[in-house]
Amino acid sequence: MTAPRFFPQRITARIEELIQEAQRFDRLPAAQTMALRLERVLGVMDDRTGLDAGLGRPVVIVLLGGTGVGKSELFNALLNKPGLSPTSSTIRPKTTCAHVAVAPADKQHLTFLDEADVVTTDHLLSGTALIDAPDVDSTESVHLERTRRLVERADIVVYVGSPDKRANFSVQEEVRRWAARKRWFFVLNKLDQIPERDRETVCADFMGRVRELGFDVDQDGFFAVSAVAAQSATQTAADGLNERLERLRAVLFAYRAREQVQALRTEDVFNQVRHALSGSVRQDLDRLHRSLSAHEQELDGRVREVFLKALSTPQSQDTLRRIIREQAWRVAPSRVGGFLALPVWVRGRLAFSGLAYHLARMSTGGPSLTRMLRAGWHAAKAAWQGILPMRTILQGFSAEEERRLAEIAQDARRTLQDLGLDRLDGAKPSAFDPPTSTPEAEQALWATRLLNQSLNVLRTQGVLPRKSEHSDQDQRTREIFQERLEQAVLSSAGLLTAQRLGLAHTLVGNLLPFLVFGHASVRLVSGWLAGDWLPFDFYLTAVAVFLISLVPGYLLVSVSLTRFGNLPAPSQLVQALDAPGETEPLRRVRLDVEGLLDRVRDLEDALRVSTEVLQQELDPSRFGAAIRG
Amino acid sequence: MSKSVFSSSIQQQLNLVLECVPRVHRALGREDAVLRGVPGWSELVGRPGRIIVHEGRICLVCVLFGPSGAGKSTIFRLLTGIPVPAGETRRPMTFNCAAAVPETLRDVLDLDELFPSYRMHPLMELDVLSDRQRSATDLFFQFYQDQIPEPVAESAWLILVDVPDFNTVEQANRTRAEAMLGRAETVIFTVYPEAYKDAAVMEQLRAAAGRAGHLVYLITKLSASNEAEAARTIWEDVLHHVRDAPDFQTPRGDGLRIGEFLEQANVYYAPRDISPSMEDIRPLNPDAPDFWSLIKGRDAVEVYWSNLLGVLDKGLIAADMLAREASAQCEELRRRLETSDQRMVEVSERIAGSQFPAGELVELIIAVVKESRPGWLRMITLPVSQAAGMLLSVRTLFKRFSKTERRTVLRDRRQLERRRLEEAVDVLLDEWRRDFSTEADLFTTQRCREAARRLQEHEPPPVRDDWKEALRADVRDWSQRHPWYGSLVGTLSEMLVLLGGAALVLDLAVSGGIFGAVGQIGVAGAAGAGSLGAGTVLKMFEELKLKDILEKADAKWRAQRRDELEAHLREHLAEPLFRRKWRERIRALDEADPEACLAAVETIRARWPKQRDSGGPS
Repeated sequence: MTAPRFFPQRITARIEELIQEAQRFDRLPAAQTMALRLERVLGVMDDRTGLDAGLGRPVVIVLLGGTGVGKSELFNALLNKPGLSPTSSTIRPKTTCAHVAVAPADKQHLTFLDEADVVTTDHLLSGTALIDAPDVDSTESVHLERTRRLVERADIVVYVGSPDKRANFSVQEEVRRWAARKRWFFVLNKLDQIPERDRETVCADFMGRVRELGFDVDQDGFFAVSAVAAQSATQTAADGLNERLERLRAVLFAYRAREQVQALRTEDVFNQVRHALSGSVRQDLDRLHRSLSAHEQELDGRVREVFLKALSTPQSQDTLRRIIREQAWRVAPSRVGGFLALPVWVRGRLAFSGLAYHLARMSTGGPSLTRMLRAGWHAAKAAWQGILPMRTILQGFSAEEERRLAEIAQDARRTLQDLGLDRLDGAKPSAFDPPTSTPEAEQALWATRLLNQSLNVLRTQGVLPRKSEHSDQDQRTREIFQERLEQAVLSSAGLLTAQRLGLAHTLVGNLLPFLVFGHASVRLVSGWLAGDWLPFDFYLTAVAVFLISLVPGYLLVSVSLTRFGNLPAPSQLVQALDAPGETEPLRRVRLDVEGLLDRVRDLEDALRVSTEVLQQELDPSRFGAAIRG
Repeated sequence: MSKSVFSSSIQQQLNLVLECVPRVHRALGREDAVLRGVPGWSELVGRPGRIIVHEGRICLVCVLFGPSGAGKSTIFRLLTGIPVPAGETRRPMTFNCAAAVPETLRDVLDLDELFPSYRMHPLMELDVLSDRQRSATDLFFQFYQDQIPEPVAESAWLILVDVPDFNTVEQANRTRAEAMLGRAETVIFTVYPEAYKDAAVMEQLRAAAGRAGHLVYLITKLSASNEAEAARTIWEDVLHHVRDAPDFQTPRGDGLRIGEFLEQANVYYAPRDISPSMEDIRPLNPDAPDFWSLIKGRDAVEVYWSNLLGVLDKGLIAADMLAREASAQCEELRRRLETSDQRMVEVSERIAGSQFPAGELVELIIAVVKESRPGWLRMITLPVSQAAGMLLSVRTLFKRFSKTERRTVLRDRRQLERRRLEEAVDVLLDEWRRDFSTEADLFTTQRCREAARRLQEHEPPPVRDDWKEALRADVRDWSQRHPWYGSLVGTLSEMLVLLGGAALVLDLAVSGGIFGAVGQIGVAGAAGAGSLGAGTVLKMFEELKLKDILEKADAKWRAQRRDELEAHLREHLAEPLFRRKWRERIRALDEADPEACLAAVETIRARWPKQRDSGGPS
């Protein structure tokens, strides 16, 4: 028989990925808790999926409760074997290690029991293992440990309470701890201690507490019994206590279809995974993410402010305007047609015309030093008129602004330190992190810093060339920004031409050249037809007149474009600066945390859907109640 | 009503402690509410200031304490006849404390004095005890007629208190129960078989036995057929646990260990009964008197003092610990201030050592030499110096109008220093953040940035001329010993000015930025480290036999500037960022005077045993 997949491989893989992801955050307690919990879940799963996929494993039912509530009595009563698990009306806690009742054939599947010291008893019903666990609230803390280990691997938990102990705080807390992860039955034992008239109230009180814990329990999941009364010879059958014990026994030892058991276990693992991802872990991560985002936005805003200031100076504005106009000329030929396109095209490349001329001169007349110098001069001029001004704007940062940027970068680093996340950032440790204990090292450090500082002073004053002045991140921010700026300039130039130049320009500008051209053509053709050769002067004049006729159109275009251009607002340009280098470390950490959160969310979504499906399959009256929502 | 007090000196010291500890606690920056949670303290505060005695009998508070469902309220009903709510139907049943006061004391006892930390209300309706909205400091009282008047000679008036349980989900109940347990001199610790070994119950048993003057262990709801046997087994199990558990080995105020005290406790038991009666409560030891007369018959004085010792001991321990903590914190803050000062000195020294106004020194030399120059030389050089002076003023005039000052940076020592100061602030802040990482909220990014910005708003302090004044005599001395060099320098000065040499000198002055790069080692060190500028200056001065003066000047300059810069940093950076807060805290702690508190505790401890021997009311 090919065993059906016990657990969706897909989800296991996801969990493993998540664990790896979470373990990377070694300074984040929340992530570490999550990783540990998930690893535990995987450990539990390995127990189950190992070998024969855990299919043969019986349903494990654990009795959980405070000391003295009669768990062992109940255990004995359910198995109908008095004295199987030792009981006492006086000594507390009596049960020190777990008692397990399991069919011999099923024993091999309960591999996890080997680690805990347990007493195993045979019973006949295969498919179900009943465990009498030690108490959870006595002075023996080792009992609590043992019980928790058992409950973790149990399929169904039976919470046993007694009238006297029904409000016990530590027991309630223990139930709360496991509530969301397990399926539950609720038993109120020792009902015989309560006078008949009070029983109803006591049961209601007990159930009220269970509901407070978040369970939707009806009479199917709740059993008010008395294990002692049922066992003793003088059975007070009139109480109906005995019948209820019978019903409990029937429910616990009911036959459960293999598919349903599978579903039960899958749901159990899902619940454990959800538990691992829920609660404070999620909140901590969320809070961290929010605070990181807030800090990052604030610092980004400050970077933008600095750039905005640099762009808002009249000098920068002027330069920007010039660049845009130049760009507009280059785009203009596509907006005007006909003869007019020619001068406009030439104007667009005017910057390079000098260079072209001198190159042509060199190619015809041979190179000479003066020509080379001239060509070089024109090349430099062309470059200066082209994209270089953009650099000028960005290089025009004053020392003040430089310092602002450096401050922002430092703030980003400090913010990470404040949040205790500075090691999370994969970047190399900052210059001040290594212990500078030796005076020599410290001196050397200072020497470099001060040297840099004084060099900076010289550079800002123009004494030294400004080159390696900015740290890498500054440089990167600038490059990014320059790229954005270029795009913005291009688009705004395109917009400018589109707005300013239209069909009218083409029509008006081409009118005169067209007339001249037409006239000349007519003369030429008629001359040819007449068979007489037009004088050379005619051609010269015609070309000259044609060129002159282009001038009005060109002027028109020029005037349209020279009118005060609508500059893109600097604030708009700065908005493009969405990932400055200064806040890089902060962003990296934020993205890491975001990635982790996304994974957690993905997994949760997947689990929620699967759990809903599973819950519909499992009948609470046979598999126990699950917590609401 | 007669009064009985402690010996006045102890009372005085105790008042001192009672007054001092809240102050210290507040100075530590904690809420007053937290102090109530300090173990041992609220008990000491909740104690009446004197021993309350009526007709020669002490008033003792006896509390019925135990886990939920042990039947505390039922016993209370039996003993006092006040029908407080009890029974099986609800858990927990009691939410507020109820005190039963003997009828005899109706008009003579001031209950507010007996329970100083409670607000007393007469118990009119019994339902109020199940009202969970009541404040924790409300205490309801009723007078009772003793149900079973005993022939035993009573030595005390018993004020019996019924308290809520401590182990249900109602956390508020727990604090109420524990608070009343702290007030009680006698404790009836009530348990039932299912719960006696709960971790929480054992913990409370330890707390009760650590303080109570008298403790009775009552096991209720025994359902086995042989109740006495069952009770014995349970008690032996408890004792077994008590002997092994390390918690129970700590000494009580009267010197007994908690475990030993518990072994002396009387044990009573009662069967599970729907309508119990007093006769059902039987002693485990058959010779012991019956339950009620045991409680009433105890030697009240002994019980009272034993309990008072315990309470006082615990309270004093708490006071002692608080005072010590305050002293330690004060010490720690002082140490931190020192560390931060140290850092500032280091940084200032580096800045000061990284620059040297050689130009000013040369100007000083020139000025001194000029003064001591012979008159005829002065006459000869007068026209030259006049011309130089004119030229200089013309130059400054030009400079004022020319827009761009050429390379002014090289001359502006202040600007250079400012930049270095900015750099230094970042270094300092990083160092402080590392040094005082426990005070993370004082050194958050925002605060640091804000502090740095505020510092920038203040100009660096001006340089005082003290260091130059101190050198004047040396220079004069030098010019007399080397008149030739002196006159050379003096004469050259005008020429230098004419040739633009003054600028050269000034250039050298601010090139400190480069030769001072090595930090605090000064000019000589910089020259040794191979700095070109420093080397040149040093050589020049050496040739003029001025090296000593130069080195002295350097040292003086550095010392003076360091102090100035440090003061600047302290005032404008450290003070608003953290120093002010810390100094306030230190002042608050000093004012709270933990030392006096410690001394008072010591005094009480030293005198206490004598007081105890003399025995109670005096």
